Amino acid sequence: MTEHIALSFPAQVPIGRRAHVGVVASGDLEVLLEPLEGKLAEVAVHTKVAGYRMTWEAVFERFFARYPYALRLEIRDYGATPGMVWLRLVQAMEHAGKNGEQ
Amino acid sequence: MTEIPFASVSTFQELSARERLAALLDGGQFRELVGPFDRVGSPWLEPQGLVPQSDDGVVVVRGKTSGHAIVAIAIEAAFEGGSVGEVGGAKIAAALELAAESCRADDPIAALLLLESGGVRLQEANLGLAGIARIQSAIVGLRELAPVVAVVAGPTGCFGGMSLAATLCTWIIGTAHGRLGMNGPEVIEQEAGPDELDATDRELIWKLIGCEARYRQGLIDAFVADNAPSIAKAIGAALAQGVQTPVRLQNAEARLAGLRRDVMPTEAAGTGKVTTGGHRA
Amino acid sequence: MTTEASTGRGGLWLEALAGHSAKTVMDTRSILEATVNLGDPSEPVLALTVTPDPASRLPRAAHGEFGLEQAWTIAARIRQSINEDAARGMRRPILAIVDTPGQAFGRLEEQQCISVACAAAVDAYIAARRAGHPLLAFIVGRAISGSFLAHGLQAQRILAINGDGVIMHAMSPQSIARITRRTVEEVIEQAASSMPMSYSIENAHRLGVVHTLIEGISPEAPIPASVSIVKEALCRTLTEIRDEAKRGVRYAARVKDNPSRVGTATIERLMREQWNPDHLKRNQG
Repeated sequence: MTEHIALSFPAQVPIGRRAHVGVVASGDLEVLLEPLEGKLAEVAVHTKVAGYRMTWEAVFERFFARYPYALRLEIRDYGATPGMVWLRLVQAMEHAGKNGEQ
Repeated sequence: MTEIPFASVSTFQELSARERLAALLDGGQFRELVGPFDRVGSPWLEPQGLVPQSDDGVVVVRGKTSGHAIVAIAIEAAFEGGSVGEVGGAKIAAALELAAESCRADDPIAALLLLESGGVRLQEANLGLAGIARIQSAIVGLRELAPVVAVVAGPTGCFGGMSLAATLCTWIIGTAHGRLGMNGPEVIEQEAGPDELDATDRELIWKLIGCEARYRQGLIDAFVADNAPSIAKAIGAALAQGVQTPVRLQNAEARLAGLRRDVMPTEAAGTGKVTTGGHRA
Repeated sequence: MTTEASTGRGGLWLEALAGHSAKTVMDTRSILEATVNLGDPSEPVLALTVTPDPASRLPRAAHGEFGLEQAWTIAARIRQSINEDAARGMRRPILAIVDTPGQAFGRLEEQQCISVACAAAVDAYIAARRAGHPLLAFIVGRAISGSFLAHGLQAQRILAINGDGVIMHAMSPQSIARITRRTVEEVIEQAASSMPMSYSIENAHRLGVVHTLIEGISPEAPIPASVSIVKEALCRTLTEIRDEAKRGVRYAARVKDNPSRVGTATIERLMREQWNPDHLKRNQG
């Protein structure tokens, strides 16, 4: 069965725009990114492949270290590799107008 | 208005549903209705171990193409093979019905349908069927008021109940990568055996149901190159022609007679043997 | 459950409802029509069904399947009836009696554009409905996929007998198993737990796809008592359809309050709300 994972991270700056990238296709994922009030970033993952919570946590630790923005991330995943997840996250940030590191 | 950077690829078939719409609409601009941030996905997939997509694989936008105001609908083939479920089916039907309402209120809106679909989403079977029936009804309802243009550009093609929907449209535009058939080759092979149809024989499949073959048969109305400018031009030409009843659906009695005369094998009297009569290429 | 031949229930029920006056349509042995008289004072209803034709010249459509011949015949007959009735100032209701193992699967069918033939049948049914002919469908056996889209699903009301062998689905479990890469057992088990995928006609009713379930009669044996019950249900349905038409109720609007159709209702509401750009002011970002 599918798995839901909820995570949160401290954040500093609000993100300005929302963004949407990706597709729920085999080996891929959909990312919805929206601004959030306050100093928190929230992540909700819905994944087809259960049992990889620690891998997801590691990816997001790395992500928010680089992009400490107050935002809500919703991930709908169909078995993407961590590399693919990173790609889509970076792409989402580009669409949201943030190209580099904080 | 949403602006999506135009993907600098020369082939249309590599583009996602949203990218295709951006490539075909004037200035790459459109306003999406009930998009991903509304998060109306399928309620039926999670209990079956699948993750729903936030737009259920159907993108509905309003914008213009070649100056014509349209509602444009694109099925995202990468999600569940572009199959139609409850939510996606309702989006397509509602969009067409609202366009018809607009037309009746003196605000003419035509429709563009980018149909890459395997047909009914099996995980939602009976709701997919009901949804497609409603789409078919909505196409016919709008068709009398404004042109309804379908595009089949591959690589998925248009099959099942959605092939009937495509066939009901005013105009059908296809490219070399598109296929249009009621039953997918795999399904025919499954039901009738590989002697009937070898689903792995790509050349045979395209000769049978590819858009070029369909164009030569007169099933589709335009066959164009696999790039956005060519497709957009064909769409503009179709829209400029206005409201028409598709010829391919007419003259059922004559089609029946033609089928009997030219296609159906004749029975050799008294032997129970069947020999093939004439055939149409 | 295999892709078996049609049980021929369509023909049985057509004969029973019409008092044994069925005849073939346009020399197509597999398409039968009859006039069913409903109500008091009675009005004529044009009933159509598909029946097996073992001597079919198209082998992929010899067991009651909906193929090229069937689709073009239905399309032609309905168009003809629209014109006949228009000339007489009538708009006879049309009743599709449904029992077919599915559409015809074959190379010839694809080559000869079966999607066009079936679309022509859909188009004809829609034209009849829009011209004011009430459309009804009555499922007595199998209502499957493309064949049901072309003959039955355009009805304003779908009735079905709640009985053995009365099912609605999009594909046989064997085909689904192959395409979704599951075993047949998994498919049937999963189908049972998912309402829209279920083969049970009761679930189709819960979902609002079937409007009326007729209980307590056998779909295999149209005895006189059963025929009365069915005719009464058809008659009531006809009144409902006409009443809705007068009130301008939209097609499929009846799913609005169905707890199993929340997805549909949400889409209806949001599409309508967002159709005009005013909502943009509330949703910037």
